[in-house]
Amino acid sequence: MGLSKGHDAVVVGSGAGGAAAAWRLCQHGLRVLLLEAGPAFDPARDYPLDRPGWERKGFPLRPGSQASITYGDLGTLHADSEDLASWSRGGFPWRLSAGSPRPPSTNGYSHVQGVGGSTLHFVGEAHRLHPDAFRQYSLTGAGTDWPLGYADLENLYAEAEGVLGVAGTDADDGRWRSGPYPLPPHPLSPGALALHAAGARLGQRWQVNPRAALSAPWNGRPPCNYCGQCSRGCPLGDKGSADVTFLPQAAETGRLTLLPNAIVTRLHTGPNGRIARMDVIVAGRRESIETPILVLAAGAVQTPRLLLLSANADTPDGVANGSGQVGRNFMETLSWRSVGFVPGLANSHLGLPADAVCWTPNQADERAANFRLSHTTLETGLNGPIGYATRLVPGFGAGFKASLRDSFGSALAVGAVGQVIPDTRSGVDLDPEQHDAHGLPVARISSVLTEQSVTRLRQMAKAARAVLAEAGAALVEEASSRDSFTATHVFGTARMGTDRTRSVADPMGRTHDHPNLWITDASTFPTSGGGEAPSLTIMALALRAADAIASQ
Amino acid sequence: MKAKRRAVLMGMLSVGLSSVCGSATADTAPMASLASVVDTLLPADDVSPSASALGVDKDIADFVAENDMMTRLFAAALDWMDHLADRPFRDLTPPEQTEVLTFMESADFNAIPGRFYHILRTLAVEFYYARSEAVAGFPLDPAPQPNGYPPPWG
Repeated sequence: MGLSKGHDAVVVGSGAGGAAAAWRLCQHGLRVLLLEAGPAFDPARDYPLDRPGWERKGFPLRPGSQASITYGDLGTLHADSEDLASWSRGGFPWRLSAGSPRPPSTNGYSHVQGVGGSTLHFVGEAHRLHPDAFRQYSLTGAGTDWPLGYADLENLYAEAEGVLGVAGTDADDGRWRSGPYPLPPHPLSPGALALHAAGARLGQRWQVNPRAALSAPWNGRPPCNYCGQCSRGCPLGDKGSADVTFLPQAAETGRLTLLPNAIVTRLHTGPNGRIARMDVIVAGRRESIETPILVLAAGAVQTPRLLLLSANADTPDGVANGSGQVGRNFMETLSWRSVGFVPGLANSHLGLPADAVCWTPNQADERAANFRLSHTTLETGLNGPIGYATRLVPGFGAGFKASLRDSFGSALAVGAVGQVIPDTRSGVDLDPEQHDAHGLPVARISSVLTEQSVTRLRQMAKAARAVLAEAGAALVEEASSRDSFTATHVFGTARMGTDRTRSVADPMGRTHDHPNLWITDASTFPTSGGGEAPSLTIMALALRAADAIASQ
Repeated sequence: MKAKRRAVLMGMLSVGLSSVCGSATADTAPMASLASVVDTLLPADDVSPSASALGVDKDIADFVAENDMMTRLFAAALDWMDHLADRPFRDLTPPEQTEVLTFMESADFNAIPGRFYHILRTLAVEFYYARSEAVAGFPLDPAPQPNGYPPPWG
């Protein structure tokens, strides 16, 4: 089999960071072998949004499309945060009691293994980190500073936006731009307009959310037709997932070899600290592949797992772990959701999901909030009768059916996403008991909410409730990170820094310990930002790392 | 059934209900009243058909048959419902059927009647509103693609 040689670089993971890195390396003339642990999805076959019953189906599961994960310490539900407990008027009348361990939700670490990675199910928010987010410690005394700043990434943000076809407006709360967004903004939905008006009366500045969904044709892709189902998989290809953006453009160079269902099981070190080769299982066969350059982009859970799995006599604590920081500094994102019925609001089920954002939820102290609000009515599944019937509208009988029809389109949901400061109890390690199908320990996530996180959750709840109240909403559902671990975005488990005793990678993404090993996923984030979706920053960092690799 | 929703239901099935449902088995499950129960939950009206007319009772029975604990819960609950009066639930008058479900709706979630009501209701509305006939009266197409919902949305 011709996999072992014939490439200049190997990239592990084909999501935001791996696809962007592969694309850039191919542009620079390198021959890239891209290994993806999961399958390739076929939008026409796998995203059946043209058939009745669509609402019962989420993003599809296929063999190998989710990694086995276990959970360690997720903290405890405390009585003094009962005001943040989840509830819904139409859902199950049951909740965990105070003192219970905080469980993982049904989704837990929500991710996709597949060609395109978690961009396949992301809603497509295309956020730049705020310039202040790079100076978290200097400005607030909490967390840490990044070893780079917004200016180092601005042109790379713009380039990634161009590949994706991001639609937005120039006003983006301090995130200065060297040029306009590639595409004009999408029209605001009825729900977003209601929040925009209510927020203005409160001093919350709601605005168009920059979105990786096409508002006009772009690079051969069609514009969005507003089916409202981004996270169920986009059958049109207008959403800027990696499988329809970076990857086909990389393939056009003729220098990309993409291999789905290829599971990397171990890295092997060689002379001079270099990673010499890796073990890979492809279609049930074990292969040994040389790694002239190795870029890890498997995400903040699987990247540290692979590094820890690769411990050997020379690196007894794991590859790239001379600092002892691999797997540490894990950050989930705090999430909050409030939903209400707004009398007179119609058609809130229509529009583009997550079409509006508010970066200034607290009028008094805007940047210190470290969370943002967004319009999440569609994103959270309130665009069909099943979502309403199972969560918002109780009862049964003819009256229930009529009430469901009458209320449909009047639900308004506000989501909040906030920052977590790393805690010593939180991290990713190898489960000592659970093993995957290949006999390897699975990743175990521990994530404990600190008092600071609970305080922020309370601020998030207050801001979300305030704008809904101003919009005239009567609350019918609330849910949050307080009651369960749910994380689409995770960070920090191989963080970057200039001090090799306190970080895993340097500011370009190259590991301190191994000159040919690079990391281009959210593992390297020193902080998570103030609620920004991370994919665009992951892509920008991946482009930066690829440029550095090519310049060697 | 989507895996996530199935997981939620299974979690709700088992938590806190230690004495699930005695010795009832799938063979003894008195499913004959299931159609009447789902039609009490989701009756026909002038807009859309009843749940049983769309086969929701059969969808639920097929789903329940895949899980032993779920089967035992349904068997115990339906048997209980069939013995509340001198005739089975399906032969009660509509007001009597509504009265039974009203009691179950507010019953202790940690006892069989309350747990069964909420699990059954979730299954029933999921299967029911997955049918295009049930979506009549909503401002929705049978499926969001291929047409989408382009603006204006006012």
